[in-house]
Amino acid sequence: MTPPAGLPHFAQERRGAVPADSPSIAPPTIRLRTPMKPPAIPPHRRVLGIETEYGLSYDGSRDHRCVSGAEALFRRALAKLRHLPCIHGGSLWLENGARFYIDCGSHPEYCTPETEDPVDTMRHVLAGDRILSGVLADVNRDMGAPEEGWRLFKCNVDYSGTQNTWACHESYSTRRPLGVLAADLVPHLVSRLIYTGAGGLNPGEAGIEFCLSPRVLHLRQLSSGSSTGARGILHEKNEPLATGGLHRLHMLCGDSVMSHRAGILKVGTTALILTLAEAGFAPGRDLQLADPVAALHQFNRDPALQSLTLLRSGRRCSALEVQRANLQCAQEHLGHRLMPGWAPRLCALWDETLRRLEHGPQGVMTSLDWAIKWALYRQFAQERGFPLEALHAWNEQLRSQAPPEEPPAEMEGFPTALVARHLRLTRRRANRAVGAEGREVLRLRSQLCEAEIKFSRVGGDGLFDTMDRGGQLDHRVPELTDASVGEVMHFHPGPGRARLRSLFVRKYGQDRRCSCDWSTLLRNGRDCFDLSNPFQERLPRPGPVPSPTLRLRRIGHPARIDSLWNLMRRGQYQLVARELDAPGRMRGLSSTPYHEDYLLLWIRLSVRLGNYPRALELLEEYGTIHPSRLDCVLEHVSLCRFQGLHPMIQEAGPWMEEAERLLRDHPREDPSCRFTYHCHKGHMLGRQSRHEEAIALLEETVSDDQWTLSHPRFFARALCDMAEQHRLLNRTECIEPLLQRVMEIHAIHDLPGDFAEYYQVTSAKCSAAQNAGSARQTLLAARDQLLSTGSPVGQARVIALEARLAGANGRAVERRDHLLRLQGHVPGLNRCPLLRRLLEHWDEWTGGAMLEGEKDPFWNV
Amino acid sequence: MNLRERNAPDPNRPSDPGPGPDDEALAALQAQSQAFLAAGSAVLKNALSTNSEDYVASNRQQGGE
Repeated sequence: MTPPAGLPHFAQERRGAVPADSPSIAPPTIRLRTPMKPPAIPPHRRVLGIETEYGLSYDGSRDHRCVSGAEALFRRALAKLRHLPCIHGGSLWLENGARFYIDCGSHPEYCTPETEDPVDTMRHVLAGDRILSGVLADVNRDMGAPEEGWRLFKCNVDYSGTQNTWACHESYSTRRPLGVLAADLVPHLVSRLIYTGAGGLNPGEAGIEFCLSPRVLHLRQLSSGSSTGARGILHEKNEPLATGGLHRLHMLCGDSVMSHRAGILKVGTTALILTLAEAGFAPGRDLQLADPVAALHQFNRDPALQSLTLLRSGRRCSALEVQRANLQCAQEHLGHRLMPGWAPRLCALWDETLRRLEHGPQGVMTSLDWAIKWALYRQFAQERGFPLEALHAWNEQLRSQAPPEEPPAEMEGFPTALVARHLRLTRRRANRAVGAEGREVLRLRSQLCEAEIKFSRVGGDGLFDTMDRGGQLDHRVPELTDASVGEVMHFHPGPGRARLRSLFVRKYGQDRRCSCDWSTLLRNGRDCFDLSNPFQERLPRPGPVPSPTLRLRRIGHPARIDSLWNLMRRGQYQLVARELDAPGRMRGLSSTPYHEDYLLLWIRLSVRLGNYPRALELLEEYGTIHPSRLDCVLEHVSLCRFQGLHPMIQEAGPWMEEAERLLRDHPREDPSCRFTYHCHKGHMLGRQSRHEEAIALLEETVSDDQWTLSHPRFFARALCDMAEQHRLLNRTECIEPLLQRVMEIHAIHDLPGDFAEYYQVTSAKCSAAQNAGSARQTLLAARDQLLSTGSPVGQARVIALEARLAGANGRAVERRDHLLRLQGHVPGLNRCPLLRRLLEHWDEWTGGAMLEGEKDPFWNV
Repeated sequence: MNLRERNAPDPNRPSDPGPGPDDEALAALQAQSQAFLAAGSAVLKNALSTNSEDYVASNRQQGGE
């Protein structure tokens, strides 16, 4: 493949060393290298990366089927893109070394592979846009409505009243921890907004309020460990994904931007500040802000760029002046050995942008996202008779009269379309209250919100892309050509381990025995290539696959928790138990931000292992540190539900009542709690033989399929519960579609533990009357799975059902002994009345008899 | 913030704000701005639907961090 002319010089050199590849020809050979000693981490190198969260909505209909869209996108990506699965499941590694997955909240997310040049980073961001919009175009074409259909957006905030935000996280490898770098970093992060802001309207404002970055309105503190709640300018997550003493600075204060210049500067300037800080030049020494959060919000609300903020020294300083000082520091040390090769190019771009910014927004109105919007929106408002001063006055008036953008509390739980209609009606009533001119302001606001959504639409037909094609923008840099973006959709030329991952996926893509993650390539399930050095240029010799627990011990807390949760989701209870129960493993955790996460994990694990006393003890501790009473109450309900073969209905009763009361008194509580509660309630109703009520409730609960991606296990279990109720009512025709849907969910989310424990068990019970042999085979497969992963309650259920189907043969005694052993060892089974009943009436059970009053051939097992 | 420009000089601002644009550059900038605004406004107007309020409500996007 010929290198594109516009690529940076170093990339062309690198490309020479790479085998000629194209997606249509044979995959390249990966050369192995014998020496095993990993090279030292070069001090002048740094890996960079971007995670882009995309908004997804259906254009052309009132039907908000976003989650179906995310699911359709993921399924299509599975079929269309050459990929390998993640070792931990749940995401795809693409042939360019990038990662694609559906993140919590059901939005698509694309992570660039590791790069070392900010132009390469932006190139991969654009490649991600193209890859995903290509997959989505296929989804829309398959639906037969290409003129409407699903659309991807990079608009950072939502304007329809949800208060949702979409992030653009940045990652930088560093040699020093965040605490050491913070002083130099904060003045830069606060002031870089003047070129990194995506621009837009304040979604929470009744009138029209422009800001450089609407997402900044969600940053309320200097530093935080949370990425979804109380977000900070600095994010405390430290998940290095590498060895050699490297840290990873993970930042969530930036925006997704369309402008190439803004995207390159965002990553490049921040990387240079880190280099200067690590080299000891202290770029932020004279720029310490008196109140960084206040300064951020002050700059954010000032597109005129005139605002001055107070420094600790007592001096007042503009964002532009802070940036000038940072640039000057970088220029003074361009020759330093730690400065990257691209630093002079980046400094030239930085300098030119700051010169333009000295002319105010007008100087950058064709090159930076926020300034493009600011110029267009101002002009649009002016043409409609609203100069800025007039809007300022209207904002004051509307704040007191217009309804808030959120639906009222009493609408909680209503279908989305109804809530939207309610909001529209309320707005219309408010419109009448503010008079004709006020209504025009509100209409103008809606038009600007629509423009906001369409500005960042991905796929070529957004406002930004249309203006760009028309030659009206000046945001591009010569190195970043369209051709070069097209190339990195299929291959990552490097440097570093991302190239090796890219080659690996190209060679082994679709081979189900291979998988990877950021620092590991796994071939044929047995050869493990350790890429924990991100600057590694050649594959090391393969080593044995480290045990999951060993791998877990090598990584930091956030990654470890993620991995343990993944193992839990996959039903690997014994593995997680080994890790959590190992002596000393939890030492010192109570003083870390991860304590609550570990505790919850341990509670859920104890419940699934039937360790009732320990779960109860841990739940008491959890209740003292977790802020939501409802969450704790629902954990108690889970404990009553999952500890044995049958839920402890009497014990669960008070907890269910309390959950219901909390949901009624606090209708704005996390909607996922309501979903979870309804799943539990549907299950309990079914267990009390209130089949019709259970079906009605579960049907309503799963009608909102937004939970399939965020809560696939609960969703699939609710479907299995419905199938079970239909079985008990002899409505065989209703069972098949439900189980088919469960199969689809399991195919997407890869949940082998739940597949065995719920799908296969339900499926066997439902098919036993027609085909007992097939049901027995299904149970056998489920037992193998549950034995290998260590789910005692699941094992007990499957063994009991096998005994029922097999009848009183020679294995019946063996099975009874197995159940007795489980009953002796597992506290939850020990106190399970249903298991006791089975064992007491073992002959009847294995003889196929029915006890008095029993209607279910499986005695509710 | 609101859509208010702050053209008035700020008394706290340093007396020397740095180099300003020369007349020629300013004229070129203004011409470029006018051309951009004319073309950009046309694109914006073409893109808007007849009922923006409904469009925004029906494009409710889910997810987020």
